[in-house]
Amino acid sequence: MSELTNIKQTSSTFKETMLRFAKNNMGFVSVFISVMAILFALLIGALLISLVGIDPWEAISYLWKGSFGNRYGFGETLTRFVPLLFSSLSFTVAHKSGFFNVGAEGQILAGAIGAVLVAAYVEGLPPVLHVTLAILAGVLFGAIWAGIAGVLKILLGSNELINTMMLNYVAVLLVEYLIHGPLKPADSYLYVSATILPSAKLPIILSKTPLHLGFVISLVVTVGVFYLLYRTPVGYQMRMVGANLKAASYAGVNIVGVTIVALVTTGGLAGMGGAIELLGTQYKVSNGFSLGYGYDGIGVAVMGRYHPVGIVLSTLLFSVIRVGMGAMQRGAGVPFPLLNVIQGLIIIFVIASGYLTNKLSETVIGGRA
Amino acid sequence: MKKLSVLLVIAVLVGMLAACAPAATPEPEEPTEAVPTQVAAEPTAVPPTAEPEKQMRVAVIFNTTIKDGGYAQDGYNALMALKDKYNLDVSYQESVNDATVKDVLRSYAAEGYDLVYAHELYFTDAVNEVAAEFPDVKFGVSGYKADYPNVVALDSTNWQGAYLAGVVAGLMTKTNKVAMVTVSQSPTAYRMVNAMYSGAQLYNPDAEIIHLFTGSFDDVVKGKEMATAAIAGGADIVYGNCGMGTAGVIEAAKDAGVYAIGSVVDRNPLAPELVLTSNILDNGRYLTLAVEGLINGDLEWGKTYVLGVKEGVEYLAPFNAAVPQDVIDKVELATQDMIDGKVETPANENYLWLLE
Repeated sequence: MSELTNIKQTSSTFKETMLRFAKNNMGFVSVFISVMAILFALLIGALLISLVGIDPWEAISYLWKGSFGNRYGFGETLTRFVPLLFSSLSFTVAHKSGFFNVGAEGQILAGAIGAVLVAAYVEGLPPVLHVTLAILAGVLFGAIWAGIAGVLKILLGSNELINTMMLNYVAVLLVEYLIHGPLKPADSYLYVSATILPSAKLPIILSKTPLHLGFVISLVVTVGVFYLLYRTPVGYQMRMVGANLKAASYAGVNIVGVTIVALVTTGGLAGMGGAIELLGTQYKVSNGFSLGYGYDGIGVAVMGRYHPVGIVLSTLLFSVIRVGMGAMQRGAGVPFPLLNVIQGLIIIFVIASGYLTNKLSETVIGGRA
Repeated sequence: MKKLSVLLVIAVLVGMLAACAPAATPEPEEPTEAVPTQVAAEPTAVPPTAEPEKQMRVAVIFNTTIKDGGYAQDGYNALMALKDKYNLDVSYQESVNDATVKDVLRSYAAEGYDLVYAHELYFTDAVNEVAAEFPDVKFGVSGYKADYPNVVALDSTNWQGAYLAGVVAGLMTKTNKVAMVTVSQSPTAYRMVNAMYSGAQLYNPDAEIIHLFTGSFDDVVKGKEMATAAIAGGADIVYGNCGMGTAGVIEAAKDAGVYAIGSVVDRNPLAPELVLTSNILDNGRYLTLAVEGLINGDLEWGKTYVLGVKEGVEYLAPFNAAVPQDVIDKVELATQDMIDGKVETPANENYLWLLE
């Protein structure tokens, strides 16, 4: 006990210096903390890898070699980036508008279902129109999926956190049902949906890689989303509702209307992510279509601190991890269960670092950064 | 103050993770010792058949873990045996899913492997799609089609083993009623049922098949229910080919004290007195045939091989003591006929006894 007190006393001047530095360089400090969190997680990961008798530095080096070290890996990383970015944008819009959407996973699946209906079954359209309509169908289905939780919230006041999460399971089972029945081609051995028509496929923008036009679309949409949030009256109202519901209501904001817009946007973005994943890489809906993009998007948004540049960078980081993990397995023979542990470590550390940054900015600035 | 407490929480968290994590690792330790990736073989281990100057590089993709006690594990064991035998440079990726399989295939193809093999039926389409992009790389799949000249697909007949099991059942039944529990009424299942029927009829024209299905690959309870119902209906031999449900079928046989026949793996340990035999489906053989075919140059690429008894993919497990020598001899005759191509592929649209 006395030792602890001693530490506190001796560190107090050091602490003051650090706090002053942090106050003046909050942006730098938050980035520094995030980077340190990842390095820490990798360090523990390296320790675990060495315990199973594999050279940890060689294994970790495959994170880079697999994701940016060659042309194909580079393209694959940017392809994984796309659905993840949409998912984190979806979470960001919800967060800024004051509700918690953990249903991006389900909305991605709903979007994919909507898109496959147009992309696989509507024939004779020119490519540009076909792709556009398929994406719009994805947006519509994603928005409807989020809208169900929205209607329940507005009419009955039920908790959107629980409802969006429950709807994820419904979406997974709906996909299961559809690929076992209505959407399964009669001549297929496998339980997958019909393959989309060639006119609905998004073009590849980097040859010899899977990188498709959806990457460009995702960046344009990112700009659009932040324009909506920060440069339009609706966006202002959304953020106002998110910051203080009572104040917004007192100021005459149409709460129901704004909530609907926010829900449609958040669901639509996730649905768009699902549609573009379908049209750009997977071409058909299968059992494991989303791979947890909806959940990872939450971590990405938190780590990116709901800031456009932050989100793009943290999405990139998560994509590097996803792609690099495969390379670690192929190249260095790191067993799959251990990779899951390392991935979990990185996410835990990153989220803990977000918490730490929040606390720090509360202490030095007296408010959230 | 607050900051310090947060730091403490994180320090504790780190400590906990560090303390817990090693406990979780011994499990994966075992396979990694065997992981041969990037490890140059010692010169003494080179068998005379292998060329010492250039190692053949083989990459394999599994959709579950290599410890699944089934399909992937068979493939993994075959891969390790091949690696030792031919001094291969091998790599594998496990737990690959539908959404990323194409990326994994492309990564391997781009890394210059001589053979990229997907040990999973569900990856058939993906393999064909990626093979079109890499005409210089050889692809293999445990699946049902090879659309390009650089792909080979290896599949089982899915009926020859059931035919032999039928021969055993036809000879061993006293009531002339044999129950068969499958997953569904798919064309594959019809063909299996008809194969068993033909096999049973070979030496016992009075033999009948009672076909039941569970609707699921992992419903043990349903498997048992179905078999129990069939036994109540007079069946004195139950054959299970319904995934995990097969264990339930054998359970039912144990309760009623009747004979059973297993499938896919040797089910004898479940009831050594009662399980007469099992029709084995050796999944690892696909990979062995593909790799050896590439080494020896006797595999035709661009072709789908449907393999059965002749190729050693399907066979009967060792019989238990209840099977008399007379029956074993007759099964051997039937096996020889099968190898000589004298057994017709059964119909798959309806039951044979209804079609006749």
